[in-house]
Amino acid sequence: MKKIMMAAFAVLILSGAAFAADARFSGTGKPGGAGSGPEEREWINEFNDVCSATTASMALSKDELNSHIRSADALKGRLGCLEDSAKKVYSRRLRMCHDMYEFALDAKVKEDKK
Amino acid sequence: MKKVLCPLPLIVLLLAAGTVFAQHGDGIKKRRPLPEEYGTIVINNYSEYSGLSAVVYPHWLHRAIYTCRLCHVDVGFAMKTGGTGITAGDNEKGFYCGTCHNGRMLFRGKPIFQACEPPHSSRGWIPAEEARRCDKCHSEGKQPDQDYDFYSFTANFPKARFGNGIDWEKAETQGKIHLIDFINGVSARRPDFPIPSDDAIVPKIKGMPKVIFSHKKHMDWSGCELCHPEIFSIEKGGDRAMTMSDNFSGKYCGACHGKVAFPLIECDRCHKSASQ
Repeated sequence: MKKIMMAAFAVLILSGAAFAADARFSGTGKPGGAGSGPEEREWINEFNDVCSATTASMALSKDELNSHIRSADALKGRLGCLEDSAKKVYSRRLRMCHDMYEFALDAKVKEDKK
Repeated sequence: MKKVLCPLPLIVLLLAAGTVFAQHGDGIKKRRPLPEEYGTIVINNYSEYSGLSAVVYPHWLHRAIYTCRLCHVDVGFAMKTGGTGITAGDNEKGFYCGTCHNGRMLFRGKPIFQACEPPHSSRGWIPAEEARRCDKCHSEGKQPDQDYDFYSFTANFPKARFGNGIDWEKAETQGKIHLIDFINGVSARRPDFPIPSDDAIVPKIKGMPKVIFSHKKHMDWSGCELCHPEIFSIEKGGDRAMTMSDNFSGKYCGACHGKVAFPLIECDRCHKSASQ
């Protein structure tokens, strides 16, 4: 009986540790407050898609840049529904991505005119 | 015999006027910060209002661990002191300082202490241990126990003349520091990116060496959107030229250099091509 109790206890501890590790490293845990529900995951995925290309922005075509700018604009409204802290952080981050794409697009348009 | 006007009262008067002018006018030489103080900022959005000391934030320790981009892009800290409007509530929810200071994230195998905890009002008091932890950040005017001492932490780092007295660039290339640029659940995965070539900026003053601007070096630490377009909205060869006066007043390069990155008085670290 004692052995069974010990085994059950060990299983509980291990599954707890695995859950904690998964929450921490899968990106659905507390850091960044991205949340874990399907809706939250949807906007965070969209956010990541939009903002992951900033470093390549000078290599993107004008169409690609325009598409990213449109996606950022579309996402902006949805971020307005987040709670205050998340809204503050992600709105600023989104604005930075948007402005970077606009800057790159502007540079390309000017370059073409020359 | 001609009466000679005694110059002593005149000298005293002039000295006094000079002192008063110096105290109220420009031209006072600012005390150069000590190496460990360079880059340190004081954040006081709501601290004193809440009965706490202002937060003294040591840039040196954080820049030895993380890239500028991670904190100022992914975590969302503004580039101007007080521009973020951080609240204890934000930290408690895992944003800003709370992104890493959550009691779970590890540095050198030790958990990073939790920045702020949910309100204490229900208890009406703060246990001594917790108060000591608050003091680690809310430390203006205090001498709290810190986990890391500047001089022992940086003892083996390559030295520089100004700023923190550390050549951070060399520290990275020599493997003394390994900057973290990604936090799971916070950072977006970024594909490999093409790095623009170095720019040579030609100064207006004849004989002044050109500035060789390394995009690679800056992109590694800052990414793109940290500088463009907020800090650098101007384009290469555009009508609007930047001046050293702009830089010294905190614009363009001066947004970082002179505040956290090596100061603008290290001329030869930027103006390094052969003279024109």
